[in-house]
Parts: sequence; C-alpha cells; structure tokens
Amino acid sequence: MTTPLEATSGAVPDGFVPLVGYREWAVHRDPDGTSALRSLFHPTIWPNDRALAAVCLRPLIWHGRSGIGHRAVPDAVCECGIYAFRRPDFDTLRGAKGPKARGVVRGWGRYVLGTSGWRCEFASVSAIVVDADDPATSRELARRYGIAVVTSLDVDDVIELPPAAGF
Amino acid sequence: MFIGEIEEVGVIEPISLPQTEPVEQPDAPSEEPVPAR
Repeated sequence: MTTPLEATSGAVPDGFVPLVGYREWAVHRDPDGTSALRSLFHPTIWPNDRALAAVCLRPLIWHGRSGIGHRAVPDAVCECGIYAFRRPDFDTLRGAKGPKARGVVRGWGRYVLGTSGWRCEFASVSAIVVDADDPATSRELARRYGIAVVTSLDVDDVIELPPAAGF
Repeated sequence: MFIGEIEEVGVIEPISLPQTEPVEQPDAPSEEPVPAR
C-alpha cells in the first residue's frame, strides 16, 4: 500500500551498486500532450530530474494505524516501497488502462528482496523499451527522462546504461 | 506487483565521494631530439 513520492532530500549519491530491476508503467499524458511515466497502481508520476522516494500509505488508508512493527519504508511486514521485478520476462500487469511502457530501473536505500522482485526506498528509471506501435512516444519519454531507448530488456542491451536522474 | 518470498532485507547506502581539487602537474621535462643515425 504505497505511493512513492518524489525525493525531497536533493542528495545525489556519487556511487554505489544499486539493485537493477524491470517494471512497467502507464504512459501518462499531460494536458499539453507531454508524456510521462506513471505508476500502475497509484497516481504517482515518476520525476525526470531526481530519484523517486517511497512513502507508506498505510497510515492514510487505515486512518492513522501504521500496522504492526512498521519501522521504515519499505518494511518486510508491509507492502510499501517502489516495486520492480528481478527478471525482464515478467507478465503484463493490469493496474491501469491505456498504453504501457516497460523499462529498467535502479533501486537503492532500504530494500526488501524477494524471489521474483524487490521493493526499495529510492529508484530511478534507466532505460525504456521502444514501443513498436508508438516509437515516437518512447523517444519522447527517453528524452524527458534522459535515458536510453532499448529494443528489449535483455541484459546485453542494458548492461552499459548511462546513469539516470538521481544518480 | 508481487516480489515472491522474501530472501533478504537490507540497505544500499549511497557513497558520497569527497570533492577534490584538480592538481596541477608540472610540465614534463622536454626531451632533446635524438639525431637520427
């Protein structure tokens, strides 16, 4: 139960070894026609100039009750955090209608690592897979986020990705 | 999204590298041209 929010610290780490993951977004259209990456299950637009930071929405949803033993975000006892799959061959999710985009993310800070994915405290998008039906939007998203466009999520294509916003 | 069974919980700490000033390098000693034999 989490909506990741934009990082507010402004701190940009110089170097570390992040988690690498794969995920899907809804393609959000601003009124002016600009495209952005939106979380599938929450109305969170991923920022293009800094990392995304997660907060737990459980206290809001459960009227102030933070749950049992919840100490940080993400926490193993909760479902909060920024999600990604560990492997690129994941099934399409059904969290939002409309066009989707897939890409590579890097996560750091606190993390909960699962057998098929992870949840983390901070994340930044690093690459987006070109949509064969709408390559122009893929290129627009890549420009907006300052990231690479890749033809697939195969490891060989993403191993040398440049750093993205927030790094 | 489902992450499966939890394997590990931890923290990846960012590393803030110290800012360093560029160090001026002395000019390399000039080498006399070696006459070709």
